[in-house]
Amino acid sequence: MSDEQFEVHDARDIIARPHRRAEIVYGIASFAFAIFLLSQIGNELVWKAGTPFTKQPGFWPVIAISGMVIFGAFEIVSTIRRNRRLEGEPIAGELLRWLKAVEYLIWFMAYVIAVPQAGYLPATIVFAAALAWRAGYRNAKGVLAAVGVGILTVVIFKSILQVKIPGGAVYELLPRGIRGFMIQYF
Amino acid sequence: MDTLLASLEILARWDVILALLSGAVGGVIIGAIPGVGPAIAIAILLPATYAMEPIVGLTLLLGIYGSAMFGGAIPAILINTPGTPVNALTTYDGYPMTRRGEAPRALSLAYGASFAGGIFSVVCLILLAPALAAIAPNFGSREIFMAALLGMVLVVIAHRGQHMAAGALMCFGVFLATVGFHAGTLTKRYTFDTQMLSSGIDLIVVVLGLFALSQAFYLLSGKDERTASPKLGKGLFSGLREVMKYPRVVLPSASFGVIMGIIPGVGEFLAQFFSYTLAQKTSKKPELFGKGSPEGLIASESANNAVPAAAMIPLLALGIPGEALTAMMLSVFYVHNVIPGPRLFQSQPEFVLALYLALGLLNIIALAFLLGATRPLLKVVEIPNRFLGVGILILSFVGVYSLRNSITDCGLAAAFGMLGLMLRRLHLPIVPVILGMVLGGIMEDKLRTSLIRVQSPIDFISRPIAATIFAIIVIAIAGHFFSLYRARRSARTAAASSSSTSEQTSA
Repeated sequence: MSDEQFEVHDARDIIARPHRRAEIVYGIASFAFAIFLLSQIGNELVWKAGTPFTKQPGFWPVIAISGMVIFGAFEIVSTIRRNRRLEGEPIAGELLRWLKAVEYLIWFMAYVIAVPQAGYLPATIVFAAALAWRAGYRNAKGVLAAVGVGILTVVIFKSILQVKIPGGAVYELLPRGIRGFMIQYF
Repeated sequence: MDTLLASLEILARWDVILALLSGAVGGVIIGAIPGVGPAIAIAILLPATYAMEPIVGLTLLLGIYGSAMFGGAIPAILINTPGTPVNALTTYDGYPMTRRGEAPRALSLAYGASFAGGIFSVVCLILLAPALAAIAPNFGSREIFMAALLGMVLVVIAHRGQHMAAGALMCFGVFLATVGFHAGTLTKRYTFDTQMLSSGIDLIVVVLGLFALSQAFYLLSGKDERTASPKLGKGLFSGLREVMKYPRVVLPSASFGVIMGIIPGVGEFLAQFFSYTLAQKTSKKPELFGKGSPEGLIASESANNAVPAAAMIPLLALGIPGEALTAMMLSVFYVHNVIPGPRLFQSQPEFVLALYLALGLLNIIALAFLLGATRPLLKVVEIPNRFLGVGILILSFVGVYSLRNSITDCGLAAAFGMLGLMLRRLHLPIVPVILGMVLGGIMEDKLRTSLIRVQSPIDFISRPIAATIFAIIVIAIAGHFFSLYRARRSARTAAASSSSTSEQTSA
């Protein structure tokens, strides 16, 4: 199963995807990461004296990193060739799109940090409403729909399926009867 | 007979029936929403299924996996946007039919073809079961190592034009599986002296990051695409019987789906490509393909829906997942200490048969649901992208955080979410990372077990099954290089002939 929607003009399109020039940035970054991992082989892996290489604890990571380096090097070469041959969107525009997504990573992490403090249900309601507002749904219908999705998620996963999400620190302030109920179900 | 009765008893429980119903119906709905897809839904639900019994959790996930493609055909046919990525080829003939005013016929052809493909695949699975039960015990560590290696080779080969990226990503997945404390050698590997990495990188964290969070970031950082409200006339049953008029298309397409589903690392896209190409070549009206051909639509849908059941074969028989969704399901087995593989067929045949029957039932439920609920489902097709992004972000949190209540896991998943976003934007594949992680772990384990018994590398292929798989690997690689050479040569010939034509024209 793959992961991206794209327009099909020919049956071959489903097995040959369009190229983007910014692939070179990704190619160089992933290759640099592979080289960094390779440079750490001495520090991050244990090599036992007298043990054959194939039985060393580091054998499998070395195979994986070597593969990353070799495939990564060829990936850079093939991307440079394709960038010379094919037209495409400017690289800077694509990088901006990646940067734009970082905002939502921050939103997500803020939500993650808020849950243990504010409690799952309250944090989810606030997060859903605020993110829907940010995403451009600035009317009662959009915000309430997002809040509804949030409440439904909490009810299905925490109240019914009882997934492990601890109660918020703020629940400690509630009266005893309600506190236990909130910790268990919300 | 006893096995059949025992498996029916397993399925007759209320919690299994509920899981099957909600999985099948939920899968259709999820599939009908462009931008969600079964991988995201399964990734989010995975931790919740850990608390369920294996049969309940697996039935729920199988329901989503097997029925999402039914639903994915709706937006593909009505608004030219595939509900799941594997419905992309359905747009090619489905949407032109809608423009001709034949939307109900196109939808019912898609439903009928999906149903035929799904049932054909389940029948193959049941017929193959005795053979699998006989062969599977002959798979030792070396054979499973070779089969996993074959899966890895095929993952790289299957990504046409992206072999290097797919190879590098798969090796990255293999590397991720090695991070942390290794119980086999009692050593730490690439932990950088941090507590966070000592316990390793959880597959669910990677899966949720790469599939769910990346899609949320992708949708939220993009724009809402306004699509015309899909409309549907009468005659939703019209194409169901018509599918039966094309056994020449249905049977080969479903067979391609079964074969490609069994082979690890290949999946729906190649199955569709081969079945579509064959259907076009053998059709009396090949010129209609791409312009609203019922045969094209049937080929695409019956091939893709035959894959899920077939993909369970390597998972159940060898414990080797062939693609990302079965890789996720493998973790459900492991959590409950049910080890899929050769022994499962001998020790729990009723469990295996119950899964097969569940796969058949979900096709019936999905078809019945679609025939009754397609019109209300048209509403979910219209959910705006960014709103979906909000929903996926909320749901992703449950998936990651409920694993071990770790903020670090969430941070790691978010980082993988960014990586997934880049890969999506660049049209690079995500699946090799997941398969590398799962197959890499299996291969290292089996390699260590094998090394105790082998004296030289040749001992790895000294047994018949291992030697056969090795031969397939060699043939696959050689065949791939040959096809690359042929493609390059024909491209050169085409370029030379076009330049000579243009010279003659200018002269």
